[in-house]
Amino acid sequence: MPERISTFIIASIFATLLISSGVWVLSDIAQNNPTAISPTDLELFNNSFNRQAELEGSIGGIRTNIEDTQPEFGLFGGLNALVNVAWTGLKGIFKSFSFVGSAFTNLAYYFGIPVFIFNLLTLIIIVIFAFTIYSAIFQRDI
Amino acid sequence: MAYDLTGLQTATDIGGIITWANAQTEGALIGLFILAFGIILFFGFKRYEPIDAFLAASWISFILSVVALSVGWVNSLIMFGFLAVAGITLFIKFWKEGY
Repeated sequence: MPERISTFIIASIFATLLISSGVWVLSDIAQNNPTAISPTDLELFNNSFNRQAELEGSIGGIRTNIEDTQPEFGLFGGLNALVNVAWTGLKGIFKSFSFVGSAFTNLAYYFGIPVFIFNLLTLIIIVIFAFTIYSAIFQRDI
Repeated sequence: MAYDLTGLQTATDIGGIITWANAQTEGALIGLFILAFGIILFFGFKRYEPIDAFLAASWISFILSVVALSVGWVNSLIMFGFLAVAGITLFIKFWKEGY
């Protein structure tokens, strides 16, 4: 039974994915048959459960933190260089997520797939990478 | 509460009676039927983990209620309920079991 911070965030993303997909189906029905469901009800439900934008904002913060961090300079110059190279590579991984995100968004536009699905899947990958790095740094299961 | 019995008197088959009763109760009849179906489904999935069974049952009930709602048979409240239950169950599942 993990009950770690990373699983908590990933669980939130999966729950948001499921609820957003449900609301998406509902809005499609409401568009075709306006009498079936009142817009006020849908809006109220969205307010209480659809927290996609906040989730994206907070996980974007995790990504920016890793992109902006600098490695510590220690006593040994050669090791420093190695650490720098590794860290630059790591930051490169995170910067590439912006590109993957835009690629997914445009693909979603062409194929008619809702954008929130790709957004949330990208967030899951970011969270898994970020918490793997945190676990490695702090030597603890977080 | 007085019921309008005109529809019941003009009903020619069982379907007509059910439609009349559902209209009089503002969708509660079919809604409760779907709820009962969901509970039966939950117990029917007994070979799986309880949380998986609950998730599957609530999601299937949600899909059923969406279909019923699109033809105006149920109240939207019951459908939102199933969706919320499915979402919260998925959250608990991932939190407890990890990824």
